[in-house]
Amino acid sequence: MTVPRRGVGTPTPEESFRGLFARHYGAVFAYAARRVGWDDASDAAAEVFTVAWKKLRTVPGEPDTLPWLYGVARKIVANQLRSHRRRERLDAKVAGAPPVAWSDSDPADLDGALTRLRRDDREVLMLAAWEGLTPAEMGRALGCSPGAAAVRLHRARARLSAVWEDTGGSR
Amino acid sequence: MSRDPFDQMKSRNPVPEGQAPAAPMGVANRIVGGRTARRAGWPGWAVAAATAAVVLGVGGGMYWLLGGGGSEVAASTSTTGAGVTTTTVVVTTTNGSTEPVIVDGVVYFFLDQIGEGWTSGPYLVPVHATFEVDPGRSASERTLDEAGMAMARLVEGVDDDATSVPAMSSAIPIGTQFQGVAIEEQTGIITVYLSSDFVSGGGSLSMAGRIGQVVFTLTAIDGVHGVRFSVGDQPTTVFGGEGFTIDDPATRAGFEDLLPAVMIESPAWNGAAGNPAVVTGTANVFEAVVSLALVDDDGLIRWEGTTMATCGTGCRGDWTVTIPYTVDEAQWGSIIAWEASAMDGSQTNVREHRIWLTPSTGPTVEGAVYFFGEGDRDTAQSGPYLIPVARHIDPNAPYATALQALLDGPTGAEAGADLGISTAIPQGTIFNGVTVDGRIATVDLSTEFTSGGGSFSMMGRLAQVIYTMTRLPEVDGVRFLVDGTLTTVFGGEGVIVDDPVARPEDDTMLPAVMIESPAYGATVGNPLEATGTANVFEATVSVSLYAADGTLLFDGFTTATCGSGCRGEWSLTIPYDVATPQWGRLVAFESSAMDGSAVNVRTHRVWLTPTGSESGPPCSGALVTDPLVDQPDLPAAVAATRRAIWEAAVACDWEGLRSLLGSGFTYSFGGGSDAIAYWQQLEAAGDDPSYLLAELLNRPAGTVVAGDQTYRVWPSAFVGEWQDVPEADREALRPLYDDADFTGFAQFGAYIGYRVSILADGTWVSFVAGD
Repeated sequence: MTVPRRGVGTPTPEESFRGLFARHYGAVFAYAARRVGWDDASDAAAEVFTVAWKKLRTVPGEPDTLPWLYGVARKIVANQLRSHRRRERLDAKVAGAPPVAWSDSDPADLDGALTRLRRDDREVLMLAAWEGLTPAEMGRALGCSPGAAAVRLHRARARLSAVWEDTGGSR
Repeated sequence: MSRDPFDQMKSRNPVPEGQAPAAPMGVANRIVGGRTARRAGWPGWAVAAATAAVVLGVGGGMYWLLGGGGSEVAASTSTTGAGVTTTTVVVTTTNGSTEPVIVDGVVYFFLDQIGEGWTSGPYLVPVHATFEVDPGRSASERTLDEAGMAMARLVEGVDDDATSVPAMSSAIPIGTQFQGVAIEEQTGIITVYLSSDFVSGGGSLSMAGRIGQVVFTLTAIDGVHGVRFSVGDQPTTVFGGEGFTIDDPATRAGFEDLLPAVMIESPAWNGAAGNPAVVTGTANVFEAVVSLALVDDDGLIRWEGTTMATCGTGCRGDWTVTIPYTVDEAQWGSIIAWEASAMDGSQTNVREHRIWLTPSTGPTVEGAVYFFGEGDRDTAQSGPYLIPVARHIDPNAPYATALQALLDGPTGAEAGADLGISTAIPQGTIFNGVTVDGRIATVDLSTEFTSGGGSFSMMGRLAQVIYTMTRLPEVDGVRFLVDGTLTTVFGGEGVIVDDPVARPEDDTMLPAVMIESPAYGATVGNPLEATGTANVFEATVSVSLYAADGTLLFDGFTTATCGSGCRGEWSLTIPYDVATPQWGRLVAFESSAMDGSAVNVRTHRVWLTPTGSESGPPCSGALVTDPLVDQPDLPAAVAATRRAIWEAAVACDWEGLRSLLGSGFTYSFGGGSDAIAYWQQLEAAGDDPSYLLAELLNRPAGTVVAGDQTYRVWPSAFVGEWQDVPEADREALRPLYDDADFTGFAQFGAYIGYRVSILADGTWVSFVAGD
């Protein structure tokens, strides 16, 4: 039996964290930027890695690290969006439009279709389309089994198509 | 271009791979450099206290406390008029003669709030801590015990397992040793003994911060009114190179700069909120208005409102608010307090505490909310008409729990019962808040409330709210807000209500014979006290009571206070005799003047109790009336398990159900370890899992093959996409589900209600709902 212990050449927690940060910062920043926009993404990413540092002992090893970070990012982004939404409510504006920074010009139909989906569905679609996660990775990020993730993606795609057709997006 | 929107989505990635910025390692260094590391080998205050200084009395009795080994030493010092000091030492051996009790306490750290809308900090934040105290100790000893444990916890620093985002920090230097506390019994002034590390490093802000942490932590303890410091065995009022000076004794006054504009004092960070949550704090905000929201684990706002601080616009006042909320199971949530900007209403000075939310455990009273019920199909006048349906109403928050129960709608069992109970309130309507003032309830609902339906539906839903609220004490009328806006005109056809509006004079929403009490589904005493209203010929109301097997228990009549064209009230006391608790039927009707037949019949299902017993129905499974129908194509093992589950469900035999659970049984995708406790909790909240379990097993079964395993699943409609489910299998779901549910399944693409799965070998593997 091997007793894990820190010896010569074993990284300190600080070194492990810096390695993890260097490897995954870009992906986590991109994840946040896709959902809350470029301006707020660095705050969100910093918060994600602050959590990772505090919970370093429980962060899973590669290759599960990034999906785990996505799982944390999902909650932090949800927090940010929630406070945006609260403000919008106070402003008596219509809430609910995802602050997605589209790269193309005016894809109003697809944007509208996404907006009309449930938040869970949007997240599954984005994880697959933009982060390019496999069902297994998606399961880790969402806290469900790979099978359940695959089913969710399948259903979310079907619903996106349905809503899109509905909004006349099939032109 | 592909027609699949998913493929289009892929090609429109807002941040394509490789476009993200490089990792800014300075940020990593800042995160690692934050004061989050746990100091190693802290000996604990009880050991450190062996070096405690001798304490001199300043007048009156003084206790001081040392810890070490299994005994504690308390010394009482008193000064006589001539300046002679006598000391009495009391040794308390804590060898377990009394059970220690755990009490809640707080320690203060700093919260560095970041992100848009947050105040820049850091500011003090109370963090929940638990202290073990000996209930046999005197008040002064207890104060000292708690002070010692609080200080030991405080110098230990921020827990690196804390899940606070943003991060917490402490201004107390690592290495500071807590050596002991002493208290002047009469003045409540406590002296804290710290090693000289306490004053090392840091400028005057850091110095003020660490002193503030100690002062706020100690003065949060009952009986502590001021704090003196002894640092490195020297009484100290001037700290650090820059000479930060404190009052002697120091109190919370003078540390205003360490507080955020909106401060939540209780519940502390990570503290339990209780139900209803009593939230207190202080604030120095414009016009003293503090906005608050309570948010559950999913980020859903469960309560939102405002309160007034005792002082504002330049001075700090106290505020307190009691928040009723409903959660299905205990979970982490947040209490958020902020100042709404006077400029644009945006959130400023936001403070958020992570808190532990719990389902209401307080005593509940039988109450009722109003839905619509059809009459008896053959003899009643055509409906639907209002019907009071029994609901548990939390006496601590009757208005909020009644409205929430109203919005939640009838249960599947009620919708499937012989009256076909329904609601006119659209699904998705959110309850924003309710206040009661001057016998007027002001009800704030989301815009969904006004959506869809003709004027009858609109009048119906308004009547449901008006009748439900005015059934509660202290309410005569209702004022409607829709998302905060006072509203008196509803729907496209313009249904107009008064402001405020009382129960209407005309009775178009009521059946000719109305039973007000007992409500539908209520537990009744023995004898049964029935009351209601009626608008019937010569004011004569006939009333009958039947047992579960149809036996007539009572037959009689009474006279309403008005009749033949006006609505009067009636009441009747009904004695009855049943051997066991059971569902019965209370029937009120008019005897036809023509031929004596029953017309205008209203029937309430009621839970009858033998004399001297008053227990409620054990579970919703007891509502099942149809017998279990054989399904001959099932394997014998599956059929046996199915029957055993059904019998346990209708008998409310929870332990029987427990014995049938297969290993790895699935009942909630949210996780958890006790299926039975989960279902019982749902039952207590007015849900009906045992009813659905039994009823679903009586629906057609489907077959699912996964790998080498074959499952039978009820209902068959669960198998495959909703659009592919045969009409017969869909229709078999009625009356558990209605058209609105079907539309929901169609939109989702599949049946996502409860389903039961049994393996081919008879192992019961799941009873679960959801995606």
